[in-house]
Amino acid sequence: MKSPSAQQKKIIYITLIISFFFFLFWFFVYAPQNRRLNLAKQQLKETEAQITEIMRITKGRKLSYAIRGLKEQFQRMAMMLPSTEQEAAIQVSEGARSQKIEIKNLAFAPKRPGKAKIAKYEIEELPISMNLACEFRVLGGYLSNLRNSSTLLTKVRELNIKSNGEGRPGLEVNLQISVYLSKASVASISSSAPLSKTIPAQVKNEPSLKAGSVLKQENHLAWERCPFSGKIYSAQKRLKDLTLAGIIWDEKKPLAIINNEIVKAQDKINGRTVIEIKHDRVILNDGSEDFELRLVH
Amino acid sequence: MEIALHEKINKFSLRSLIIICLILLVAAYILLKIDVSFHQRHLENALLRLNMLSGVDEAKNELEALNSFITQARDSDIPIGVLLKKISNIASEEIFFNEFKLGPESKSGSISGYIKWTGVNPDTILNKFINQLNNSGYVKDAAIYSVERSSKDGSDINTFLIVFKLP
Repeated sequence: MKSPSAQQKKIIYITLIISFFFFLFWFFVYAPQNRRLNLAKQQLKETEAQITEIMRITKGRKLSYAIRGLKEQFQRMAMMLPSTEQEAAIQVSEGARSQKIEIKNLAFAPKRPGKAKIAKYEIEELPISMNLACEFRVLGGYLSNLRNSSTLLTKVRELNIKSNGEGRPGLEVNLQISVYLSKASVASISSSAPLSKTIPAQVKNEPSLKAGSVLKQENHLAWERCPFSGKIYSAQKRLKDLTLAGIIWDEKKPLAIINNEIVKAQDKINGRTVIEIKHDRVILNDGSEDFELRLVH
Repeated sequence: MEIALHEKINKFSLRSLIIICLILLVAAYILLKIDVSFHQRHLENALLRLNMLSGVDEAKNELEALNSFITQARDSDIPIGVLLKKISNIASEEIFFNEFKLGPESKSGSISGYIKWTGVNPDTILNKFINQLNNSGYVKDAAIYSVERSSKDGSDINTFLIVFKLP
């Protein structure tokens, strides 16, 4: 094999040196700069996405209005978290009284340390034990209201219902719930600084975020029967064993024919008392409330 | 004479090759540097803007955290009101409760009561009630824990204890 001439060797060396310089440039200059460039591009993309998202929230409004709107929504929602035991107790007992539930006893247990911290507010659990006297359907309504309340966030820890005996609608109930409190008073902030006075209409009318479960439509069943007292709630079921066949009308002493029996006011039939006989219907009472029995045509 | 010219051409070509390469490297470096600084400037501007908008972001995050806490708390609470209503629908006229216990924290509960004799087999009534309870979706693994038959005022009474779990 013929060895390369001096000229050829020179060309080879120069080519190798140039290649070596290219490699140095690529490794020490180009590649790091390229990495920086890609990183900057990626950060820019993320930042612009964040900006777009924030601009979407502001909906083209002034920044201060947008922030105030969001804070107002926060405070509206935070109203569900009272700051003191007294506030919680008032809300719980007012809810019960509005449903005509007798509260025999209401006691607090020591607060449980908060599991969550939202913004600068620490959430605590206040266990409340209540002894109630009420009817089955009323208790159900009260528990549903507590769960869906927009002014209180609670959870039931224990429920114990005892019967007072068949035919007696009143129940003895021991209800243990936990009410969520906010350690720093979120509610008092909103009451001391009424934002509604300073917030422009545009912000006030913004629909608020609502807790998902609040929006859930609960089962719309009708109350049928109290399984403790046996009381029938459903009007149809309550009257199914009674048939009003006729009314013998007399202004002073009307009579009715129910289940082929002639009855007058204050008579009893199938455990119900005849309260009043009208020209087209009879009012009966089953021990707890009045109901109507109409003529069958 | 001819060799000298050839060498001159070679020298010239090699020099120009080196110069062209160097120019290319420098140009690539400058272009890259310009590109990087352009993007850096853009990024700085965007970050500055983001910083100005961070109040909105912070308020939005706080709102979302509170909303998620409330939703979670609500969803973890069993709808006992609805459960009681369901029971009022499925407990037939022969069934009477003495006591109803529910422990959402222990995820369990029990029902004690009795069945009035109306000519229908009490086991059938109880099994139907338990099936409906299990199918309600609010309760699972409902089962008869004990049944006792006794007689009161000349009529048969079946006292029962049902235990169940909460999902």
